[in-house]
Amino acid sequence: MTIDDLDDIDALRALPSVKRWLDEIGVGGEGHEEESLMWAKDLQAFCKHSGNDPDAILDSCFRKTKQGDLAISAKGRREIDAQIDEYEKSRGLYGRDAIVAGNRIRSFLIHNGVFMQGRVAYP
Amino acid sequence: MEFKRVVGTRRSVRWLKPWKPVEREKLQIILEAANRATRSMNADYPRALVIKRDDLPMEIRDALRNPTTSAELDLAPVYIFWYFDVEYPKGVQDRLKELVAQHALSASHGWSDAYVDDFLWPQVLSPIANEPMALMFMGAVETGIAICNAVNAAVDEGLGTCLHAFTATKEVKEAFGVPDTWIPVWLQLVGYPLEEPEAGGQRPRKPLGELFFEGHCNNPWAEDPEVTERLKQEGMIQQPGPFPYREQEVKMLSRMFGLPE
Repeated sequence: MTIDDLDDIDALRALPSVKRWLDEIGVGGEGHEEESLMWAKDLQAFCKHSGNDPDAILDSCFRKTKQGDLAISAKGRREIDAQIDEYEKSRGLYGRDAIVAGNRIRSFLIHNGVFMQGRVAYP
Repeated sequence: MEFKRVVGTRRSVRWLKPWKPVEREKLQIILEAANRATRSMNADYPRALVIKRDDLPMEIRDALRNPTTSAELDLAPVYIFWYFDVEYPKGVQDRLKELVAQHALSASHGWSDAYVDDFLWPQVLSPIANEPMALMFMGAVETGIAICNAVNAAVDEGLGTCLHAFTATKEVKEAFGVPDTWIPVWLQLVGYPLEEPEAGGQRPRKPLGELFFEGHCNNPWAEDPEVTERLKQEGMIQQPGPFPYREQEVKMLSRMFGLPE
């Protein structure tokens, strides 16, 4: 998938990383079309905001060590976290709504192995 | 709560009621439990700094976030920063002689003031005090034992608690006047549990025979099924997860706080 293909929501949902995420949060199967679409559209919007497809976003959170092992990139993760904050603002969200929207994107990263600090919205 | 049930009920609780303060009385009980823990040489290893979450500057709370600690920092109303004082050997001679004086250490087992002053201190304990590796090893082990008492005391008081990697040590040190001789060990978060008491079920453990041995290391400890059954009855061995409702419970709690699902 490239950034130009992002408008195709079904193609986006078919990406293994996205499918894994939707399955693990319990909206991937039959009978969850509406929820699945809602989550995927949030990710789609963030991808457009950041100018990257989902896998490129994930890749930016990892790095290869000198030994060739996969490691978390602290810098990449910080940058994505900052982009999530910007994304919330760009949508005119604030308070709980902003936190929830941002944490949906963090959820995608978490279910693909990127440890993210979810923000807390006190009830 | 009975001892066995405390041990069996303890688990790392990560969902805490952020709105419910922990009574000072309960914090004192936790600290006293640590203070009463077994400790070699009767030395004063552990140190604790108790801070309410809302008294902790946000930049320090953020600095404490690390790859294993996240939302708990926002949920727990109380933080206990556990350290050991690397100067714990100081005064050990006197602390040991207190035990001699009260006949906890007695001549029957070879102890006397002269033994402490003329042999044990100069030939055994003083060299340990000057050996950095031994100093750190003993400090960490002995403080860990004290923290274990603190954790179980929290459970006994109906609290939820969990130990976390203690990062941001520099920030905490500067903000709260932590002495140079204190070595960070664990951060204990404390609060009232928000999740069901099972907290996802007792954590899985290997059978005793895989970990413990009798007589020789090729002879695994053989469990007596009657004792195992008794421990189930008395709460030390509890039902492990996953519980059928747990996924839903975590989802609901996540939604309560807007956390990632």
